[in-house]
Amino acid sequence: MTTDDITSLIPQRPPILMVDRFSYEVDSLCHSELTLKEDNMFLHNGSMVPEGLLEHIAQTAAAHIGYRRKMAGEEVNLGFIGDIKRCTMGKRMPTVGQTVMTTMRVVSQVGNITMVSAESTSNGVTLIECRMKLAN
Amino acid sequence: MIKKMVSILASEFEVEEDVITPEANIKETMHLDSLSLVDMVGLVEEEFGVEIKTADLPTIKTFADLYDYVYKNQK
Repeated sequence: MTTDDITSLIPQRPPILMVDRFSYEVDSLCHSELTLKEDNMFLHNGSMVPEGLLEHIAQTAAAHIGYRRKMAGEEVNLGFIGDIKRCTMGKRMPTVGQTVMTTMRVVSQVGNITMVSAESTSNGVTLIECRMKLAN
Repeated sequence: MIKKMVSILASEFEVEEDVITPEANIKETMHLDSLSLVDMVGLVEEEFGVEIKTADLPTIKTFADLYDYVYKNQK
């Protein structure tokens, strides 16, 4: 499933929306994209700040959870970042006009806590790799 | 398997290996809360290929319970 209608999967709305396109592959794997526009809230001197990438990954994970909830006939709810681990940042941050592509895998899930691992790239270059726990 | 499990858990949760005894309570020994419990579940799946189902978690109280679960469910 691929959608540009992210707002049906996560509660975030512009200007804080950080996912343009979402693809659900299987229960434990998904992909997302974000093309940086000039009005993005997480820009500094034309480049994205690291917090923007983390928010993008968190919203990717939230969309994955949201899609699963939607398919189960449940409401999409607000989630929270619980923890970030094993985080490595690339040397260059994406700039306006570039597209960030993220692959996210669910590592484990216990109740309403989900741990994911994610890698974001742009033009084939790794921007960030991390593990993130979300509570929803 | 037990030696590897003890080593990995001690390293991940920053406890001494000798406190991880078969009869010790997992949550108390490794100071696990609901957020860090998911770390242990992920670690077991990645290192031993065993998925701990949420419904089974209440039955895994001690390290002996965990070893038994992994042993029985390893492919």
